[in-house]
Amino acid sequence: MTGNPTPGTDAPIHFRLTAEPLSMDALVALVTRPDCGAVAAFAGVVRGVTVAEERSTETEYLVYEAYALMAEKQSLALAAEVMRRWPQVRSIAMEHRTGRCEIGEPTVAVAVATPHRNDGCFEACRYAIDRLKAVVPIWKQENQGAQATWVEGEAQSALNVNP
Amino acid sequence: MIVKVSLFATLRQKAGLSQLELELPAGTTVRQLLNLLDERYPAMRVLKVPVYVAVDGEYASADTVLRHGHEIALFPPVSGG
Repeated sequence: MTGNPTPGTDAPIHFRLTAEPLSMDALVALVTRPDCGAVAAFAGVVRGVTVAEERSTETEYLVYEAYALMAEKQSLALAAEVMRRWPQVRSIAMEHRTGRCEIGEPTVAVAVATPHRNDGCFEACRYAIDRLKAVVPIWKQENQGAQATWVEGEAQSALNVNP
Repeated sequence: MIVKVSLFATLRQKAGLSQLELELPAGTTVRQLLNLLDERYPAMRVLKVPVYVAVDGEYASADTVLRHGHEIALFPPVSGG
């Protein structure tokens, strides 16, 4: 959801759920403005091998499901919160995949623009991805062979009704 | 009053359905809704596992009072990214 997708115009907040491949270039272009010299961008990509405590597990592909209406509401609220916390953030864009994602494909992308790099660009980008993963209603399913397993995030006590 | 309840991810899988419509007494809270769902769909174990509840796209608490026409969603902790 964007007011105006043309770079450098008045569209400071953008969020989109899509079943199509994400483009980091397009997202960076979306936040780029004449008054900003810094853009921080983060991509989360599908990890094929997860190594933990000398054991490794493999993932063939991921499938994402979203509660679209609420994901949009929560993401736009998060973007507004980021701009309040880092007032130098002039634009922020977040996109998330739905459906099947292959190894190495971006599944989530966040880009933030500020006038200079030390205006909170990195911090705002990091905060946005951390909060997106905590509050935006999207779930991933890991698939390996015939096995499909829904991944549950870490329960936030502030949101859990059975704490 | 009538409310719509959507289920996602593991809860949808365990219940075997993605949406239901319930007729509830006025003043029903989220906690009372969970008690009812636990009776009707014990496989979801909604009183035992971490559950997030949303009302009209905003996070709700156990004390939130439900109103006619509310769009309710129940889901496990989110795992996007």
